[in-house]
Amino acid sequence: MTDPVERLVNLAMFVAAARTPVTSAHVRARVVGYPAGQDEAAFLRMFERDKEDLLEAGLAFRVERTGDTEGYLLDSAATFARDLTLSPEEAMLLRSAGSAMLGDPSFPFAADLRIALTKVAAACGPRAASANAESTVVALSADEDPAGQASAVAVLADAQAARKRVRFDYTTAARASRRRDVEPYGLYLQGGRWYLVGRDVAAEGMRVFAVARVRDLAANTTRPKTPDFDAPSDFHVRDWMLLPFQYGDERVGALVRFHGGAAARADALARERGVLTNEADGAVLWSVPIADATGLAAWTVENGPGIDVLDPPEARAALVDGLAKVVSDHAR
Amino acid sequence: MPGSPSAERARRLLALLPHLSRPGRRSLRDLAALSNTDEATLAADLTALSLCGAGDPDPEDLVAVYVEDGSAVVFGELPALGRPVRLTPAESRALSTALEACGLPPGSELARRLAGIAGDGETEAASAPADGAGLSDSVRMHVLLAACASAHRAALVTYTRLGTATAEERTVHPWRLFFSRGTWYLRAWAVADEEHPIGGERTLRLDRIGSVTPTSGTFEPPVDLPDEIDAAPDPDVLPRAEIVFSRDTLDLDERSWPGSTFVRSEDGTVVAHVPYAGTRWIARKVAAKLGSAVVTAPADVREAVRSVAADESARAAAVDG
Repeated sequence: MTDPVERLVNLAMFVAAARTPVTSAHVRARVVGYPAGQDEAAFLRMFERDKEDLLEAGLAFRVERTGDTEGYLLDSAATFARDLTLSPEEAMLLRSAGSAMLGDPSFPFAADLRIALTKVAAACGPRAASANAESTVVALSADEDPAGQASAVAVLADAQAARKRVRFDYTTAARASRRRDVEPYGLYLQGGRWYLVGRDVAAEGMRVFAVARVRDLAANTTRPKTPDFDAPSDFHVRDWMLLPFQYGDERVGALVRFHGGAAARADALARERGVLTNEADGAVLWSVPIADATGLAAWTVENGPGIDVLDPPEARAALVDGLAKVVSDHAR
Repeated sequence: MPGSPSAERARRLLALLPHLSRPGRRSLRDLAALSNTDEATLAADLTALSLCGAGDPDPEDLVAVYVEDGSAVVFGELPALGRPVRLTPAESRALSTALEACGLPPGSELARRLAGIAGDGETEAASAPADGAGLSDSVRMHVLLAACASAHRAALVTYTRLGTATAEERTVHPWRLFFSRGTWYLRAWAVADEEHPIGGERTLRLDRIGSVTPTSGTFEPPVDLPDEIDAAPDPDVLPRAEIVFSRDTLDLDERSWPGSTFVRSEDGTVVAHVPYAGTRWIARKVAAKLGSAVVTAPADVREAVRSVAADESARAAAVDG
């Protein structure tokens, strides 16, 4: 008996090579791998599962009906990739990212990434996506319980894609724990941690959860093909990728000045938040919304020297008062 | 949802097919690199493909490939599926997540163009700007350093050390980029020069590198470069400072304070013993607590904290005018 892998590839090639619609009877008669003597119902179940697997691989079929008979053709426009041209820099970035993440035990999508890079290499040439030529780039993108976070993110990502609710125990930074029902809208990786953004059903509000603090995670498996929710049409996970002093409901504008060596790091420090403006003297002004004035003050000290808080006055006061206490506490 | 092992392998085989669309001989090593797998797995996959075809088990209709002497030999046209198949949503997601880990923001121009080959209709043009426009300066530096590491090419970098306000120039041999605890680092050999008479192995944070200029110099990386990718020094060999944190301090975990131990007192304060390699890092971390952490010992760390806070305080007062 032909193994199921060969049967799937045979089926894909048979439908792809066909010039006229392929019926289940054609498949049964011509595609190598379907067991001889199998009853019709069992064959049809196997055929349906195989079609699902090929859809998961990226193939798309067009269905044509003649009376009660369905025939299948490959939908070339929906199946094949467009040509892609990458600049040398982009190709190097892809190689770098691919090499790092394929070797990262905390990366949750390694199998998909491996296939994606193979397809990209085929779509735009060999220089694009060969990731494993040399291990000059390595990563551990989520360092707390890497394998645990990878498997949790895989579950959450599947639930997000299927729009199914998830349930888990969550312990906040203040060490308060409770069970949550959440509609998972988005995931992001920042600072070595995975985060889930979603609607907390009981709290009736949006929340950001550190995946490392999630326990006993389960997705709703009832009616798997029926979504539990729709994410708001204006939801963008990027809007929730905040700096530590930006979490909170009420935001005010802040103005920060980077100078000296910090000016060269402004781009990296700002993490695409707010607006950076170059000054004539080489300094960089940063206009950024904040929700936590003390948090901003602390951030400037931790990432300094060369970072001045110009506004708001609350952040300046937190900085001045806090530093005075530090000096006093550590006086000789 | 991940498919069955058979479905996953079939997906891998189907993705491999376009790489076999032209007759000829290719090394297994090159093909394994393109398909991001190892040579043994690739050879098994090619053998499996050689038994697959588009219809009756006629040898003429099978995938015309065999493995011989470390090469894959394609000796005929593919029966079907010689063009690359679009990315699935899951594959697009994996690609964009990997790029985001390298510093690209979500929804970047490159990620959108890659999603374009997913055939989702969102992006019409999948051509690149010739110069890779759209990559931020920090991503460009990552790319340049990765290219230098791969080509064994020396580079001139400007680097701002922790706790200092001005950048210095060093010529480095970039050995390896690594991502640890949310930050990209470069492990490199810093070449001796007039200002730095002693060369040595260095670990540089990428977000402290201001510029990268490849030079004409080349190098041979060490053959015994360790696989470990943690930037933090071994805490067991470092001195420890004792720090008392106020009861409401939130980030008292190993991740924020690597290698530390924490003991909560009856009054709710937490006494931590924190390993440190130099006073710059620990002084700035404690000063940034703005009064909710106090170093009780040793004296040199206490003085370093006081000094950082005094300098920052003077600067803040000057800004105040």
